[in-house]
Amino acid sequence: MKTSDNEYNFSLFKPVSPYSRKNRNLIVTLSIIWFVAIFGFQLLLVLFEKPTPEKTLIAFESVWESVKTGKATEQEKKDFVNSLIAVAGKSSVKPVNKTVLDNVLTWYVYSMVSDPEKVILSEQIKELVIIREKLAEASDAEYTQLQSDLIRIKTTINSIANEKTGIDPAHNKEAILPYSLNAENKEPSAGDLEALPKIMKLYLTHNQSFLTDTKILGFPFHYFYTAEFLLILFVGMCLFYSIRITQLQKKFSIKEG
Amino acid sequence: MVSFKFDKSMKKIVVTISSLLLPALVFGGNLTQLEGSFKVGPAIILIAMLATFVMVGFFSRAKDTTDYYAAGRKISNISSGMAIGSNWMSAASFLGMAGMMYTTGYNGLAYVVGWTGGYVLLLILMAGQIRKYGKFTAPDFIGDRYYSQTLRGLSAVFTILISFAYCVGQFGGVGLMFKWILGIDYSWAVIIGASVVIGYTMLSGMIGATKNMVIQYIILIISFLIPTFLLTYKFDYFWLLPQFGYGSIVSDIIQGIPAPNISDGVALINAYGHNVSLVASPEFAMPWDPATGSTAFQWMAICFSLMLGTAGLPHVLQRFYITPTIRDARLSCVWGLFFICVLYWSAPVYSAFGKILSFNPEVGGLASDAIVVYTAQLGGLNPLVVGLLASGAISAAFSTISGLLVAGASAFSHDIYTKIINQDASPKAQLNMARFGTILMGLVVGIVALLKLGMIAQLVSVAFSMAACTIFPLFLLGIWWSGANRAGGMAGMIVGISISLFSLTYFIAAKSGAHLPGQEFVEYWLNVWYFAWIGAPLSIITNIIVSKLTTPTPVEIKKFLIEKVHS
Repeated sequence: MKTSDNEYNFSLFKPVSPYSRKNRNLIVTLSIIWFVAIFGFQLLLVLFEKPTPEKTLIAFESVWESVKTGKATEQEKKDFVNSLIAVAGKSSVKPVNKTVLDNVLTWYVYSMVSDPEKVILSEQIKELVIIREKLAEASDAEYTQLQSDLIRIKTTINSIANEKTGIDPAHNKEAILPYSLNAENKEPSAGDLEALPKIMKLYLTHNQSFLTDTKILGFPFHYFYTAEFLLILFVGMCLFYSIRITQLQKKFSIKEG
Repeated sequence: MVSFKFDKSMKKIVVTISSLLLPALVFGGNLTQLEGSFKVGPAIILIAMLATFVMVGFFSRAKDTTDYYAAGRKISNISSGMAIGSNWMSAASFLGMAGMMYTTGYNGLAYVVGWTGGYVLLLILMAGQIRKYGKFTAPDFIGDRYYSQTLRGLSAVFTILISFAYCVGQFGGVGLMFKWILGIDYSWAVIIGASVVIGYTMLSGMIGATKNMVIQYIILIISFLIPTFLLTYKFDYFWLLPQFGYGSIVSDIIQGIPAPNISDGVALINAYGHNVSLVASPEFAMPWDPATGSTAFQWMAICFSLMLGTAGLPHVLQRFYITPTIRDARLSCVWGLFFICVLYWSAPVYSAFGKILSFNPEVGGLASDAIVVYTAQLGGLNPLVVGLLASGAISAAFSTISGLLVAGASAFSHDIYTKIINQDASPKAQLNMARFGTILMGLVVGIVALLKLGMIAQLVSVAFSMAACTIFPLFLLGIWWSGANRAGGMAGMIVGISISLFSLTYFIAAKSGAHLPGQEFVEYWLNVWYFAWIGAPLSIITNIIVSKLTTPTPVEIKKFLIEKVHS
């Protein structure tokens, strides 16, 4: 029987019975596991991460000076164009950066083909833009015709540009090329040329470490840990708590409603 | 303690639904219509589903306020777990979670972890104690524990505001899916959707909403899982358990997929005939990739805020009042989390497939709001399967809307009307007021949704941090520290509200194109999605300091806590 007001004081950290003490220990233990499992691991990622360039960035940086100064060999130009397309094909590229990439790419692709081919390329790209606009509003009948026109145009563009620019057929880069060229061939501005290396670095550098490079069930380890394991841990912790608290209640003869 | 006896009324429902669904199987195979047209098979599934919800509501009419607010406290733990799952998984979870990972990669996983990890806190710190306290609503607990009508009123207003903003957001998803299935515009989608959900919730309150939530969970999870098995099977990945077998898809995205990508001698293509191939895209999986513009701090702040917010959302807390026993309240939380995780384990499968199937520039970036449906379409799945998926999205939206309507209407009728305005209201008057509250809230939500005030829907993002800064600290300290008193609760609430309003002001200013002093600083450190990382601890500390300096908690409350809640 409680005899004074103060005896009704309690907190999580000041339990008033053996059962409360056990419950407190359980809650504190699970909370620590919960916190460390989530945030401790993310801190480990931060601790070990190292900005790691993709091979494409290394290829780009090795030819950039030559390309910028106009001293690039044919092979260097091809490597340059391929590296730009690898970035232009990423869906994460922001529109403002895509514009810079397209401007520079257009200039160098046009510089690698003959004058008559330049004219054809420009006309085909103009037509491509019109068809893409029409496709959005097309009826079923128009859609089929527009699609076949699209295939014809892409084939023409690829037949002109692929060989001369050394487009790597792997990873479908040839599908990206027609959508990364402008109809108007303008020399890239100083601003575009200044921005390009930064854009390439932004999209081709990633925070990696042994935690991201190790594989488990096909996943990068950190991805598996966060997307799969943490959720299993949460369900497991909840199940464990429910079972354990019932056991404690039996042990201490606690009857709940 | 049975929620789903296969009684006479349920038999009627099953027979009716089966007869409605038969034509879907007949018409389902011939669907080739384009976006936005009327699709027969999916439409039949949708209509059968809506009819089910209304019938369940009709056969589960609430007889008294205990039925209306707490489902008569007779929902079993597995059913309650399913209800927790579907109540929690809104259109945003169903449609948007995969979109988040599609656009922001690893950063999207902060939402997965945040929206599940909060349930651990909820269980070990609150679920059993909330049920033991024996109230009907979150404001009810706060008003009694802090012996303050002001706090009761304030938290009731917050409950209504949070439920309101959340509800409006759901209609975006309903509109999108109705348009896809029926080819009708957004306004009609809102009118039909709102009529159905208000109808059955008004009739049956928490009891019908909960029974419907169980059905809605089954629909949403089946519709969400089937395409993951089909997509992994079709594109030659490990299909027996895609939720754990999509690792090689993630690795393929990181390394790039060569074209042509051959399986069994056949080149893999998407529904448009494009090669399934990809340039190396490590930004999809690498932590806080520079390309996404997010940082490790933001990842952790979002995760932390969402977890506290989850444990502080009124419509989530209210689910623990409906179980028959305290043990059931705890077990329902375990089941609920498991049922939520089933969907959250599956959502990344869609984002990964979305990435590889939409690679071709002709497809372009997929709208993240509907990436789940678009991915199934791009994967060339049968339109009936895609239709089922769209119906699942509507189920997800409906279950959340009904839970929010009950939470909002309860706050209005129980906490404001019965406890503050008319304390002598008869049980019948209370029940009528609860029904009136549901209709009123449903109508206002419907009208605002029709006005397409994008800003309101976006305010959902503030709900989590706001709940974490205001309601979570009151529950945490109210349950676990007898010293937390009225003055402390009020001071903590004021701090929480102030920080919320501060962040909200900058958010609205940014959306309106205005620029306030320190805009970049506030947007980074006190962003609406995660200002609770600092707001919640400040609210808790303020509550403790002010409680220590002011008149102690009345002894009868301490006695109640120690004898009824912690014994």
